[in-house]
Amino acid sequence: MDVSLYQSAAAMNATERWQDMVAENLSMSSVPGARQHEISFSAVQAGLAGDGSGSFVMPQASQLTNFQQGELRASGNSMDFAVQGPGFFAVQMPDGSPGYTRDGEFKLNSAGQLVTKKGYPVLSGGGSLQFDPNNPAAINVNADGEVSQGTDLKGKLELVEFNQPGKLSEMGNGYFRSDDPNMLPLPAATTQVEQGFTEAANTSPTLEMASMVTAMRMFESNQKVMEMQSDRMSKTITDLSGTS
Amino acid sequence: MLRALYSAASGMESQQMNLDVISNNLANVNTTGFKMSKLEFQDTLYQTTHAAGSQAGAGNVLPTSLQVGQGSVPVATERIWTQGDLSQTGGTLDMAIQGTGFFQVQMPDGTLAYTRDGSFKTDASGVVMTNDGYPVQGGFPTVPAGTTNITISPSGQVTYTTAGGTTTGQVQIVRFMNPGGLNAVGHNLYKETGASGTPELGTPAANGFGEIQQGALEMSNVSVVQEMVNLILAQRAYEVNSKAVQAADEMMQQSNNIQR
Repeated sequence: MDVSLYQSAAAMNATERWQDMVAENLSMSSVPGARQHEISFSAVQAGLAGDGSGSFVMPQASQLTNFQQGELRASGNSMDFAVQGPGFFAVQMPDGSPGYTRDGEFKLNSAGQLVTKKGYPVLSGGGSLQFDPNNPAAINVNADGEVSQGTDLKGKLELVEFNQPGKLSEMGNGYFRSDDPNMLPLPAATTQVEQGFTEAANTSPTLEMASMVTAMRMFESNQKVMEMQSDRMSKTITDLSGTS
Repeated sequence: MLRALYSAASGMESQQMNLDVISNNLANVNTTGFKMSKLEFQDTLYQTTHAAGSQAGAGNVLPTSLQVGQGSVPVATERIWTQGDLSQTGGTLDMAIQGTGFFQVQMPDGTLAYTRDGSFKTDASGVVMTNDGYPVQGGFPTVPAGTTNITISPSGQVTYTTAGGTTTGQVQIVRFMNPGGLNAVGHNLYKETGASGTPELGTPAANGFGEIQQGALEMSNVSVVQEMVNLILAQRAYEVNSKAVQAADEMMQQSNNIQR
């Protein structure tokens, strides 16, 4: 009936989604390697003016992932790795395809393989990294990702970069996948690994609070407009119909 | 209104980074050879509604512009290269540079790094190295077995005395055109970059190079009092920006409540 009602409803829907995203970002701020989400509004056609003078638009919200570098925190744990640069660790997902992650809290499973927190093997030169679980020598990883146990060089952690990381799709739990066959993982050029550090989530609480304030006020102003339109329609019905 | 909100938020972000730098300085108040950093800010892009000097009609120009800024952003961490105080330790291989200059150290990957931390040790074969085990370059001869006395003069002349005789050598230090352009890599080490200029090797206590003091270590040049003042300034700036965020929020609330 009234385009403006749908426009206000769409705006309220979009800001509600924005609020959800702010809450999610703030809740993920303690997860290492978590990448924050950003809201992106686009204009969608809501209707056309009857006299052909133009079209009405309403907002639609969609989600983007922000791959900005997070802060590095020294954890003192030699099995914690942080990525410094735009790259990712490559891991093997349960279905055999490669997944990419920034979360470097790795450990050794019972077979001596280097695995992520969820148990997915960390890839190195196409296969997993095998350590001798009975060898007490310390595992060292240098800035280029070369892994050695004691003095044996075991391999090199596969660090990859993408020239358009925005096209990666999220698989949940901090893992990404490349669905675009044209965007292949490139060997890392400017990325380094830091052993004993974790990369904090790249959430900025200050900016999230500013976004929350903006979203709330946008929601409120659209709600006022909807209320006003509703009053106007109600007034039209009661006044013109002659009933009170 | 939204511009006020985001400007104030950028101010809070800047002060947060300021606090990060200050707390790093305070954490390193006892680190040998540490040089404190200072965060520098910059204002950001201005949105110009009308520019000064644009035509106002009838041959007149506008005398002032209407420009609104968008907040502040950190632009550089400037390292302050003032001399730290020397602390007499009495260690034979503890060295401090009084004046300009760095010791040269060889990294495991073959590149050179530079440091002011002169707390050197020797390994089993007598090679002079840093606490991380990186050999010190610049002319330190290997310490022979059975050395009874090691003397290093302020101009870098090294004398090792053993029962059989003496070994001498000359130590050289380096300086840079722009030490502010050096890259800090941790472990009290700095690396050369395109902005620092090439290292200039020279003899200590000549041509403006600093002199070497044996038995002393250069302490951190962090002034705790100054950093506490900076801490208070950063905290109050953060607070006052949060007030601006609150004010913007309240004004938006007022405008939303015009229609009751």
